[in-house]
Amino acid sequence: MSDFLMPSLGADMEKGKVVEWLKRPGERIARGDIVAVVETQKGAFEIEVFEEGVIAEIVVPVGAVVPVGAVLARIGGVGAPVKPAAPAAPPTRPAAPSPPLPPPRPTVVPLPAGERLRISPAAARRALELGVDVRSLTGSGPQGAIGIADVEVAAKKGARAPTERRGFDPAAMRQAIAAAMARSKREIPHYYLARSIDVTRTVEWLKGENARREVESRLLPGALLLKASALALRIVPELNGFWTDGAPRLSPAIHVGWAISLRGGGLMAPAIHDADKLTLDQAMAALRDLVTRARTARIRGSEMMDPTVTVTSLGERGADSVFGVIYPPQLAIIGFGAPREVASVVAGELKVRTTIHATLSGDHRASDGAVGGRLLAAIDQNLQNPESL
Amino acid sequence: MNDPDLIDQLRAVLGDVAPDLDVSAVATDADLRNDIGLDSMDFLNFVIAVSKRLKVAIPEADYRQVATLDMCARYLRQHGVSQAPA
Repeated sequence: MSDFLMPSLGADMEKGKVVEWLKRPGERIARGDIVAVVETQKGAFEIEVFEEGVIAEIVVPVGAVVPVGAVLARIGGVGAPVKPAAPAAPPTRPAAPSPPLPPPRPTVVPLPAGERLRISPAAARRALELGVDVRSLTGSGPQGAIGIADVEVAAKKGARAPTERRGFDPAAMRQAIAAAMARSKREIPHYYLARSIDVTRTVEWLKGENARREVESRLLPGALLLKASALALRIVPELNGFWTDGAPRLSPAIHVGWAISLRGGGLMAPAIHDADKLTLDQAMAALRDLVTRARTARIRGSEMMDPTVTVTSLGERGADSVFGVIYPPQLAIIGFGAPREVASVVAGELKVRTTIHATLSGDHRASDGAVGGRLLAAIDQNLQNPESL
Repeated sequence: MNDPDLIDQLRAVLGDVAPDLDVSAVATDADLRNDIGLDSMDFLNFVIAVSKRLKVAIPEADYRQVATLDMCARYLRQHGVSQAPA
């Protein structure tokens, strides 16, 4: 029998709320199965198990808030005794600020409560199926009543209500960022380095590559930056890992936390696991998958737990450079500004070249500027050979 | 001007690639990147979805010509889309 605990989904998390159990007592589980959905200040996350067995007992019911490390469920071997599910927690404070949890995946819009809306029951059902926000509709029926046809026309027009990210509260997200960043600046003596990298060849290569590719297999510069950074950390492992108990603890695996800006406000940096081992196409697929899931709150707990470094790329519309704040307990954050055409001296001649500012913020307790400089040089070198990324 | 059905199709595509966006509020002349806040990944996903749904190849060199819903509709009509398939 082992315990399934409330995980720590980042240095800023103290407690979490169980909002859904996806497995029941007696159900078999395999490594990597998502068993629960937990809500934190940063939104809802899917929590996996890392062992095989059977759910023997669900200890924490849906709706309960428990600290990191609390036992959520007990996992037994196959054939172990099973306890029935705990009843749902009684609502503690009905006026709690956390918004109701919209059901996952299919976009379903709850019908407005308390509002008098002329809509036929069949049309209301159809609106739910199609995820149409009926509040925005004008019906074509008697006295403006909404019928099935109105709903279907609206669905075609895309009058669908935007999906809110599950459990997302911008104010709580702000608090989480505030706590983590304040702790970082309080505890971590940052040093900062920048290197201007000539990416003319890289950009040309990418252009040629994308011209040959079907639209769905085209690459974004981010995939190259991700891979170039991950490979550089193999050469300079001193910046990949954590500061724990007064000493650096380097990680053999390179899990790159990729900073994703969220439109509702805030950001998160979930991990792309073993980013150094991915091909460019796999890196691109991983980025696409991560961004898509970040937008719909389907990030997994493990992705929040174990980034060993963070990369933030501002994209082509962004600022020239970014000096990031390290996400504790990581040791470094790598930043990329927007690529720009600049006048550059190449072999004694003035040329127009595309350059990108790569930056590094390092934890000075764990490493010195010379080490950070080697990392930026390695990234530079990797970007000069895009075909070998 | 633009075929309203085509714009509606494009709005629906936009809603698929950016489910957190209120697509009915997106002006047809708004820049999807600068004004609406699509990042490069969202925009690429939009181009992929448009290409597939309306069966028009949009090379990377033409991305600037599909920056708004209006521009995108115009581009599609220039490339043989007359009536948007349902």
